[in-house]
Amino acid sequence: MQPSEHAKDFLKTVCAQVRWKQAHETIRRDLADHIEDQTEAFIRAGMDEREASARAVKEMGDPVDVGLLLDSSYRPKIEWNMLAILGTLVMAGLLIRLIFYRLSSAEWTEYIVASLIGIGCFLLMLQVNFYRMLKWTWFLQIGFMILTLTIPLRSMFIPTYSDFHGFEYIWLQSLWILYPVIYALVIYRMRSSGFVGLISTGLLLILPVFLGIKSDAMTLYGVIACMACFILIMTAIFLRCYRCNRFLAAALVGGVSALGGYVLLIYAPYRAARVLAPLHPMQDPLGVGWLTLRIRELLANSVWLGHGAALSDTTQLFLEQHKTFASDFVLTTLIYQYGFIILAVLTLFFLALFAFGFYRTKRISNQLGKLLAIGILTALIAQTLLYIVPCFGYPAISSSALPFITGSSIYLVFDYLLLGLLLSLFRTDTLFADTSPRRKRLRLRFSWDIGLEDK
Amino acid sequence: MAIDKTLVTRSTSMLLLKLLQTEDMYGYQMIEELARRSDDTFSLKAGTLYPLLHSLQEEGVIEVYEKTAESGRLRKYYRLTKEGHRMLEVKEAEWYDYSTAVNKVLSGGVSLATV
Repeated sequence: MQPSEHAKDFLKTVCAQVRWKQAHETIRRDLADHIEDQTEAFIRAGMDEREASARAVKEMGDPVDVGLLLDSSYRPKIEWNMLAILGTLVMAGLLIRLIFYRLSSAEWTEYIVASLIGIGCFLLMLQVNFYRMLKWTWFLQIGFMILTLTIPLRSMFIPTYSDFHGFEYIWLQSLWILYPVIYALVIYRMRSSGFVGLISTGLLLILPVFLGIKSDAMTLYGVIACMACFILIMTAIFLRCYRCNRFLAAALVGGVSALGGYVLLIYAPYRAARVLAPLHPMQDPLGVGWLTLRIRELLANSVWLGHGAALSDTTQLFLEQHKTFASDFVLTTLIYQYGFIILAVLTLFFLALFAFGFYRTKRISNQLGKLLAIGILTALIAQTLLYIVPCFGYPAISSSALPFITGSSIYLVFDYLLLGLLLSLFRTDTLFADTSPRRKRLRLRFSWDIGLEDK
Repeated sequence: MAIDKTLVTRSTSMLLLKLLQTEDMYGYQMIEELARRSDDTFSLKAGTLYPLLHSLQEEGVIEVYEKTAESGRLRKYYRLTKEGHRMLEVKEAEWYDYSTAVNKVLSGGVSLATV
């Protein structure tokens, strides 16, 4: 039933009183549904449609009063605690650059431009209702695959392409860090399709990862995305998104992931050597174990507050070479020069940021918001861990960046973007409602699937 | 029967939670059901209901989902969360204590249970 002119005028006046524009669609829908229900009730009571419609609108009360009441209830929520932590981290990044390092003018320019772009993205994200991205799921997925597969495919057919680490190459690879967001949308779209949906979701991840590895175009951004996507699938399973036996599904995903990791190590033994080398650095002290030994010596000679003790000549040389902000081991050298206190303070802030993030995520009442938020949080956590772990002498994987503090301009921009998206989800979570999942027909074709469902 | 509005406002959220205790409902259905159960004493307006529902949703005591009704319409249903069930228990206990105390005063200091 289309809203009558009376109803349209009523809804327009109500929405005019509500200052939070993103809430208008939800309010309009709630009230229009209510008017429709009331109209139908009046028609059942014997009124004609025109009279019923006019009476239903009248029953709603004065539109200005209704609008003002809704305005007092619908207010965008601002996560001040997370904003405060973000501000502190940004300030910490700035102070570390100012006090401990001498950045060149080119480095300062890059940092300032990246920060301005990042803050712009952050503010832009806050203004968007990301639950509306759901209708763009497949467009985003296909667009992402086309953009990222460009690298492995070109690398396969143009042997010199991967040597060209230019702007296009780096930015296309870095897009991976946004993939957990798209993947969360895909999982939500595939929910309630049982094991078929689960396997399809897995294949959508496996294909670009396989091509990326095959062409050596898989970088740390991809590794971060894979870790986040793995956690996302597991979360979706335990949130009963797929409507299949949770333990069997988790075993399937865990098994396939473990098998994939094993095949990767067997297929390229040098990967296994790199992973295992930091555990026994003395076996090859001048080769793969060299970096681990330098970092371990730096940390072993560090103190809680102040400059660390004397180092061997080799490690001293390593320290001098890595006293630049462009180094992957900024945290290690900072700990040695100023004490573990730096690590303790930063760890505290990151723990607080992620703890607030998960606490707020737990309170999101819809599955889509939960999945998107977990995708973003795990991507940021994976990035943080993959920075910290190499700084502690386990450089099996290339180093990432400590969000908002170290790293390249690409990381800085994407970190602002991801956090903006996360806070936007928290702001607008009450404006979105999950659609009660219905079992999709596709799943019923598989008789083996029936009977494995959680009760 | 006319009831003091403040008293009604204070207890409305408890009544809404009570309605949702046994069944998920959509907005209009809640107003109808509340009127029916109270013999038309509580005739809640949509303008009061939806802001209240939104506040309860923000508190995490109810959650919303969409479901296609038998009529084919996609409706927004409200349901009680675990926290909502706990809050309802607390509010019911508070209301029981309050009404017992009021009744006791009205009956001249004698508990109605012992009369």
